[in-house]
Amino acid sequence: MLGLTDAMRAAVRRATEAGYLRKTMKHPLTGFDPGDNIGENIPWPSFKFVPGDALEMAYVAKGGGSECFGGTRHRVVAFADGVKGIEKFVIDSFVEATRSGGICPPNILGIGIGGTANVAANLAKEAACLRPIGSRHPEPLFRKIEEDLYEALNSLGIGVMGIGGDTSVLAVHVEYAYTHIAGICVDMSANCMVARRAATRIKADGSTEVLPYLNWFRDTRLSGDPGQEGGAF
Amino acid sequence: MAEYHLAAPFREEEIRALSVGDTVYISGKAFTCRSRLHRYIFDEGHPLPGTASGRDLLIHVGPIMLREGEGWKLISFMPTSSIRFEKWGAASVRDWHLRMIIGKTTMGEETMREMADLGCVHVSPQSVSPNSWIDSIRVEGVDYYEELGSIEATWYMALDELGPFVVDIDCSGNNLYAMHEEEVDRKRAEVLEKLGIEQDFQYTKLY
Repeated sequence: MLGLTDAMRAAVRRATEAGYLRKTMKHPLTGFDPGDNIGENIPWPSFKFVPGDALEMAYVAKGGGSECFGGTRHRVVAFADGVKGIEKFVIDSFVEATRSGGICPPNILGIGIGGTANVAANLAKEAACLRPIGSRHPEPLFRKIEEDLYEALNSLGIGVMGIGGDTSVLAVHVEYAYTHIAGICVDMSANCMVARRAATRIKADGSTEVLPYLNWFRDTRLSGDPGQEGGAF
Repeated sequence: MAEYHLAAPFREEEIRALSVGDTVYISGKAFTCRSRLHRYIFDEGHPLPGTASGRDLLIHVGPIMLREGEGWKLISFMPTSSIRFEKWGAASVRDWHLRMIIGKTTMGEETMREMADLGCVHVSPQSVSPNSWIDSIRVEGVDYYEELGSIEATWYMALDELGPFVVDIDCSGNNLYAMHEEEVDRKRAEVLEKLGIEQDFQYTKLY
């Protein structure tokens, strides 16, 4: 693990020197620019441990507009408000985030439902950035939310860069986690307009293979989750 | 919604002739900033470099630049959200004699008033990938590189038919995005109704 993290830091440094990454990351209070994108807690890799003898990794370059400029939103929705509360939160968040073209629509949106605040935020970002664009969640309850929101958001007339048009989202991807009974964390995350990403598999023998995308959710979804019986609130 | 091909430095009348929704392609001499430059000059008391003060086209962008021999190679270029420097927007339009700002999103009311008074527009990129413009931009030099770093330094650029940009703030006080907001809000009400979400829906207050 430590070796992997060190390798990532070295890779970020090399990519910055070569001009693949901008020297973007700074000290949050002093503005100090290390010049190599390396600093306290940055880079911030995400790991998942799954069966197998290979390492799969993805790199997604995401701009500050889609990340910090209103592209990431959070709310705790009461069980009493259910799917209506979740959908209203996403629609209102998207309208606010695309005012003046803020998050550079049309967007690939990720929605994280459940877990805790950090879990929902991570799920939303992973859904936006890692899933095949336009793929559907395997469970009908979440697939329906994806389809309803896709149609609803494309009916808002926001359009390319927010100046009007029929296409406001290219895809809506929902991921969920079981949640504490206290309430439902909901997060929205938008991928960057440029949607740059690359994925690779490093096999046990050291050979590599380019992947079309990282199948990030493959090994952690429960098959036939009993929770979907009876429909949503 | 007309199409214009303009070259900086601009004449005031050609800027005042632009209306929101017009498309522009831009040539000529520009300088770049991020809000760090505004703070450096207006709050920390440093002067606008002489080369910049001869230019009336400001691009709000933090480019990727690499050293190439004695010069610089532009790797990536995409203007960014101008509302970030609203705090110094009016002062920069006035003191730097700007005729055009290239950026994303918008400017606030105070800056818009100054732009209308003095003759300055804001334009934003439409449907352009960050690297597709590289061949239309020549890097002429840089100031404040040591002080502000490569992203936030003041780069001098010569543009060759860069575009398309849409005029989103004109000199008559019009803002393309503000004009569009009402329509989106009306459609939002329709969309919520279609999903069965009442117009007076109130979230249960949990905190």
